[in-house]
Amino acid sequence: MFDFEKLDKTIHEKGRLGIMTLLATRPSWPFQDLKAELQMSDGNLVTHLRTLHDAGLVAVTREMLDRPQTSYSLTAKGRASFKDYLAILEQIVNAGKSKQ
Amino acid sequence: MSLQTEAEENLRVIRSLMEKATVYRAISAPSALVGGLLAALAGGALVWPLQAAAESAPVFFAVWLGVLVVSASANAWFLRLDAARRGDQFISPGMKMALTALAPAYITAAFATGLAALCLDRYLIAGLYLMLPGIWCVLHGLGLLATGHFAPRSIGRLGWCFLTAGLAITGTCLANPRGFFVAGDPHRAANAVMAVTFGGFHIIYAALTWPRKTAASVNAS
Repeated sequence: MFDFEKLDKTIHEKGRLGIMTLLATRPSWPFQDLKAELQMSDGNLVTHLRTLHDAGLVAVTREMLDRPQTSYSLTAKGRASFKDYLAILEQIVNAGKSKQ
Repeated sequence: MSLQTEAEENLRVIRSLMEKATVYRAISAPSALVGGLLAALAGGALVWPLQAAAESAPVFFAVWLGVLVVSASANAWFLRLDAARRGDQFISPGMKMALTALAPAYITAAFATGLAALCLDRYLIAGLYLMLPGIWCVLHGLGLLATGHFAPRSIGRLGWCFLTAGLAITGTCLANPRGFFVAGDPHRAANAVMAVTFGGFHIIYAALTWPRKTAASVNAS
């Protein structure tokens, strides 16, 4: 039986999983791009990003371009946690296949 | 939902999001607008107010190579701005993939253009360069279609429009060369084709793909 506790619950939530996935594809993502790609409301996205930031998985950069822009990126811990999470998902799928 | 089904579903979501995020648009809407307007203005000017100058082959080459250089520079500038906004590199893996995919068609276009320019002083094929708009359309279309596996669908549709129009134009020229080269005004026809295809198609593409702000994002900003 697979130990469900191995799954990182912070990443496992659908909304946060989407955020982590996008952040894994580029060095950083502006807030508006994340919002457009994930089609989330401002409040929902901010809440999930705060949770990920508090867990040390996501870093925040605020800069002044032609207007203020907030960008998000994965921290080293975030990248490692995401890789571990993917590995565990693969283990679950493979375990299920070997049983069949 | 069983743990295995949930894991499979999550892996599917991750794969689809990663594919979407790595989409690379080789022509942005602002670049298409700049290139389209330039081509429409240049083609329009050569069809009517400057039609006398348009009968000179060097003018034809100079104008359209100039439009190409300015449009390509504008495209590079807009791509650089977009990459900086995303915090990405200008020469990103996406751009390298796009350049690799575009290269065969664009190298062939450069070869065909060079060949037509070199043949200008040969009597029998003196009008060969007037077939270039159709050939350029075909090769531009093939180039865009070659980026299909990582480009948004709109780029593929633009590629099909160019390929279809280019084949129709080239086919018409080859089927009735006397009609194209002798009757009517072939210089006006060639420049009109450029204005409609490279001008019109890119302007329509820009209008359809221009980034739009949603009501929510306007309120938030």
